[in-house]
Amino acid sequence: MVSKNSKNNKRNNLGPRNISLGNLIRYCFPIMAIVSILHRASGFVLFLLIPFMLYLLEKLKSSAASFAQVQSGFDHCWVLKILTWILLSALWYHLIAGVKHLFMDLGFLEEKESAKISSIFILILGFIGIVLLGAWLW
Amino acid sequence: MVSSVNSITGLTKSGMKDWFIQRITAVLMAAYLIILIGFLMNHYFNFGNLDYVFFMKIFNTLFFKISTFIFILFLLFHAWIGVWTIFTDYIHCSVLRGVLFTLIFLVMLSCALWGAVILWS
Repeated sequence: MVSKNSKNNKRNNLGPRNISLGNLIRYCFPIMAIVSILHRASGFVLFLLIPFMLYLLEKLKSSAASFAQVQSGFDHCWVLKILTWILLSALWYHLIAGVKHLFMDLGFLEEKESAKISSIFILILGFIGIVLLGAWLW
Repeated sequence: MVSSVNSITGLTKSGMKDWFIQRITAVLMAAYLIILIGFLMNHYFNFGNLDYVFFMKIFNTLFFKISTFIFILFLLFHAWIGVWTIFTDYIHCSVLRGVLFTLIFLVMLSCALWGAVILWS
């Protein structure tokens, strides 16, 4: 938390503050932090993929031909397949980590032990889901 | 000072409200996805495929047109609050942040309108 950055020194009396990206790299992350940062990263990926979601919906909806085109596109176009896998994987992870976050908002899973166990659970569940989604798509 | 400047670009004027909206939209979007995936899975396991006819049968109902549009709006609100949190954490130049927020606002507004066109065309 304490930064030697002189720019931050005048704000020392303001309590906790954000640490810079450069500082972050040197930290050894506890597993709870990894779950949290992946939740943030997957959310940002989903934000970037909003136009792709709409593009898919438009293609699926516009005609029977373009619906079939998307379906067969999974076999021909690896970009479409990978983007869809990234989209569904990010959605799955963001969803389950979000449920954990809601539990924490309600005051659960905040002790060291329960936080650790639930974090490991989310990582394993996320990994299994992402592998299964890949298996389903390929 | 810093927080009052940041709150201009928040979704609402209040962090508590943003916090609440982000959670309530999350729960409702999850409910929508479970219902939609439930319909698709039910058809898939009964008929062994997902075809255009069934897909359109779902999206031609007023229920799915409206709920999907609300989903898109909730997605954009939810994303706005999330991206605001990320940008105010990592981007310390307020001019750059302002430019990015303006661009994102335009893209999001376009996405909302695009979604409406897709759903009602």
